[in-house]
Amino acid sequence: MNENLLRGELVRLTVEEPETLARLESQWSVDSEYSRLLDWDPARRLSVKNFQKWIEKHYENEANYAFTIRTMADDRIIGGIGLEGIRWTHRDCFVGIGLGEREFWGKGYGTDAMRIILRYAFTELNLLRVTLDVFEYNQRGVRSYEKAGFVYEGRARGLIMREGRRWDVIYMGILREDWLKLEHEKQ
Amino acid sequence: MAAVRPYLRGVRLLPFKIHAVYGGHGHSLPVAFFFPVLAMGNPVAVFYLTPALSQREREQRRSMSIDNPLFEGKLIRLGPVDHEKDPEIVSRWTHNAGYMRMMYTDPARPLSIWQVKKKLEELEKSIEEDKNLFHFRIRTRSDDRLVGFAELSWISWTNASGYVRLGIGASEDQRQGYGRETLNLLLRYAFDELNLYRLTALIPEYNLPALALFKRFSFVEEVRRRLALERDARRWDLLQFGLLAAEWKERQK
Repeated sequence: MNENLLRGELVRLTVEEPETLARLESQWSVDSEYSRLLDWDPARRLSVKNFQKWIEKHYENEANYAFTIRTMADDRIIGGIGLEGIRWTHRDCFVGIGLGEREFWGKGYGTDAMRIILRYAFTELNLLRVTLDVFEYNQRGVRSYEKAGFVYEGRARGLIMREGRRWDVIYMGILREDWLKLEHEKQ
Repeated sequence: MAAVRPYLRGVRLLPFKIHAVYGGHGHSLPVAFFFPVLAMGNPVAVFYLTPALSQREREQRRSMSIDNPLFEGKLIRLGPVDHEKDPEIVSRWTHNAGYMRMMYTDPARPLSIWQVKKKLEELEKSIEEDKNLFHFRIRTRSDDRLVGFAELSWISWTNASGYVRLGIGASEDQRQGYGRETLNLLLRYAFDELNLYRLTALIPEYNLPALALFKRFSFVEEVRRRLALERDARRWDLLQFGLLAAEWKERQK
């Protein structure tokens, strides 16, 4: 049995109180690039109260497993990751990740969090597949997901419009059987 | 003369009868002027002059059709939910597992009339509050009978994109051309009324009628979510199709 299910090399996954997260999200949303990497809805500033309401609703939905990412080194909250829209009968879901603290971008923290949540999805929730979408302009994201084992599955042409031009949305997926092979190779 | 000069001058020079011809679809702009050439009182030739139109104007004129009916086809009509009559028919559809498995990834499950009523009320609430859902009921024009539903959903207004889906409930109403006519209307509504840039359709690999229908309307396979569904004890791909407004307009020519 793996007792360190939610621990990786650089980060661990926890769950925080909605109010704590709402304060952080409200702070992070100053950084519009963070918002634009996270979502195709318009970047905007929301009150702590508004964020809190959203987070509580998200927590209540049983199709979601939302976690907070904390660094192992100094236990700092740097972002969030979660499985969303789980279809239990088909054992498939989406994963979303965002690092609000940009000093941790491009250093392996996100990839580590993704590896943890895949292990959780495949060995605790017993899902057979995890899906994600990522915007064409987020190549750092694409590289991180490839490192975690995701495979390109296609692109929705020009789905989003930002800075006056159209961008594709890239879809990637990972199957449990492929993840197991990767884990096996690591050992 | 033959060098077509400003045509008002042509009119002045020719003492012939002028027939102004107007285009169809209730256009009020003249499309052409005809000048019959009479010799000894008999028509021997015809000149006609058309106002010079740019390529763009010609295309606009062809598709400018404010009076084109958006909700009426030859066989069917798109309308709102009828909360009195619809629930009973929809409840009957939910007892058809084949239909439910084609339309929904949630487990197929029969619903009582009461359950359907509740669902339709939720739908109405979502239409009113979320502002990103356009839901139609499909009825036959001949006898106003409910045969299915069609909707544009999850519309992202800033990105001008949305999802499209439709279903014909009873097996005896399938393969009657209702779906094709509905999709034709729905696409025009999405691109000419909602001004969307693109549409997405999610179709399970096993839904062959839907695959054929959407391909027929030039939808392109964009994403293949490998083995994302499980039915009948095996895994199936979930396909994602896309259609751009530009591709749809090209197809209208």
